[in-house]
Amino acid sequence: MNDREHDGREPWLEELDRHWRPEALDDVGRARFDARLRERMDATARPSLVRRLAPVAIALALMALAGLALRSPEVPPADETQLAAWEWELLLSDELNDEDSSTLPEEYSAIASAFLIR
Amino acid sequence: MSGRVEELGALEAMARPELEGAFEAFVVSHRERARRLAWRLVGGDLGAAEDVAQDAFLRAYRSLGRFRQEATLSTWFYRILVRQAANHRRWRQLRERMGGWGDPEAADPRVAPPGDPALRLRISSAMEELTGRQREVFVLIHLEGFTVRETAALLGRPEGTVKSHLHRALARLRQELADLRDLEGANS
Repeated sequence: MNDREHDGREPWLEELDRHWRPEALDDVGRARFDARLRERMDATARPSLVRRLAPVAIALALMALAGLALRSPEVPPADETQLAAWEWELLLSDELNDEDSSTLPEEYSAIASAFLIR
Repeated sequence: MSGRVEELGALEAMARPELEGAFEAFVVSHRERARRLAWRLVGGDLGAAEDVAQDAFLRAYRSLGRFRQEATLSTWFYRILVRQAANHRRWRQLRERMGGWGDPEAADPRVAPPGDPALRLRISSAMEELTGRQREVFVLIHLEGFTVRETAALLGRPEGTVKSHLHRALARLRQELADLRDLEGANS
């Protein structure tokens, strides 16, 4: 078989070639084909809406994350901090075992009550 | 085919408008052949063939920056097109297995191709009997006029493998379309 075996091909192949092909494009078909391709090529060159909005979406997501971080319980309200400090002090104190709450600061009771109610 | 397009110099050195102009010239000179080749590879569905041809041009356009001069622009483009057609056939087979493709005779409702519809149907059925690779090789060489070497480069297969596929395809089609030969003989 040489490299141009389609040259001088058998007659039935000519017949097959003649019948097994689409109708050629006319002027309207060519214009339609080119216009559709041109439109798709232009769309490729143009940044898509998703690409254009991506930086805005990322910025909004970062802002939302920052907002959540600010609201996280890592930095408790002042009263809770104060309460925890006193509780820690009480744990360390010998007076905790005396079952005598009279030694607790008066302010503790007020804050503890407010905390429990909340 | 435009010699200017075929012999494009260093594409990466071209200015964008010049590159786009050269590509548009390439589309104009190859659009009909691309569409016909796609039609033959996807089995006579004109709508699918136009989609495949369009997708191949678009893919080539997007990848122009990656085109290297190892192959001609047309070999590179037709490689893309053959892959697109193969992908389309795979998807169609998958959809057929899932039970939703419909009547193949109704695949192209817009335009009836020229010629005898019954004969075309017989050819179509015979082509469907070929494996995907046999069909590609047969169509490229015997119907579209590519050489064995070009086809091997286009499919990324050794020339011996291409010849083997071609031999089997021809044997199969001779068997399936024997009366087409007789018909031709009777007419001549």
